[in-house]
Amino acid sequence: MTMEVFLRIREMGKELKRRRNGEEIDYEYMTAPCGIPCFECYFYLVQFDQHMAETIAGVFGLSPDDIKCKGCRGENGKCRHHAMECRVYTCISNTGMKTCAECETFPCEYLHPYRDCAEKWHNTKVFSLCRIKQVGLEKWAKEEAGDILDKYFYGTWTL
Amino acid sequence: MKDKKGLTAPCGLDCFNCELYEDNLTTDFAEFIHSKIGIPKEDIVCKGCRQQDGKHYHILSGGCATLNCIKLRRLELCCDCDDFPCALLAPIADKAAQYPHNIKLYNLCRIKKVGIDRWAEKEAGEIRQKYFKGTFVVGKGQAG
Repeated sequence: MTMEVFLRIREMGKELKRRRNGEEIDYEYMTAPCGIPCFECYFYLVQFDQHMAETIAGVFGLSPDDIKCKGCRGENGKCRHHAMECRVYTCISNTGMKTCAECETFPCEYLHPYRDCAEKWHNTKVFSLCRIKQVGLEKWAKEEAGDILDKYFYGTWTL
Repeated sequence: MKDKKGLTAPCGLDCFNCELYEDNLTTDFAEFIHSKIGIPKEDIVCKGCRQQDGKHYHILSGGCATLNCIKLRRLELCCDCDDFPCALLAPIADKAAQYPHNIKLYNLCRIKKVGIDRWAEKEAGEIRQKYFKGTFVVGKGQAG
C-alpha cells in the first residue's frame, strides 16, 4: 500500500471525525497503550459511516465488518492494521498502567522506530507518549494527537 | 578514543555512527555521493554536528534549527530542555527510508534513561542499525 493511498484514507477518517465534532470521547480508553490515538483512526471512525466503511474496506480488500474497530482496548490489543497479536498490549495488561509512558523502562524495544512500514503509525508512538507525559493525556488528545499524525504524514523532512 | 559525547548532536543523532563522519566515510561512498549530488568531496566529509556548527551540505541556509535553539537555551541536549520533546523532534515519514531522523527522540529518551555514556557504548549503534535494517512487527519493536 502506498503512502498516497494511506493519506487518502486518512483524509476520509478526518472527515468522519469532523462530522462527529462535539461527541463525547473517552480519550483514555481510546488511546492505545503504545500512544497511538485510536480516536483518530479510520478503522475506528468507519463504524459511524457505512458507505465510508465499504470504500475503505475495499481498498484493503476486506469486508466492512472486518475493518470496523472498537479501538485497541476494545479489541484486546488486536490492531486492524496487522493480523497479529500486540506484545505491548500483552505486556501492559499484566500491569496497572494505562500507557507505556508510565513504565520505568520507557522507552523499551517494543517502541523502537523503523524505516520499515514507515507509512504506518509506529514512528509516532514515542513522541505521542512523551507529549502525554509532558502535558497530560486529555490535552494531548484534544490539542496535539491529530497534528502529530498530520505532521508525520504530510511534513517535509528538513535537517 | 574520540569523545562520543561531543559527537552526539543535540537532537540525539549519533554523529560517531554516521557514514559521513570523517572516521567512517569511505572513498567509495564519498565518490558515490559526489556523483549523485555533484558537491566537492571535501564538503561531503563531516567532523560532527557540534564541530561544524551544524553546517553540512544537507542543511539549508540558516543552519540547523535544533542546534540554533539549543545554543540559545545554553543546553547540551534536547532531553535537558523543559519543553522536551518539542515539535523540532516530531517524527516525519518523509525520507524515513534514507535518513535517521525518526531515531532522534528514541535516542534522547534512552540517553535520559541510561546516561549518554552507556547509550553511546551499548545502544546507539544497534538503534541505528535496527532502524534501517529491522522489520516492523506490531507491538514488538525489535524485542525478541
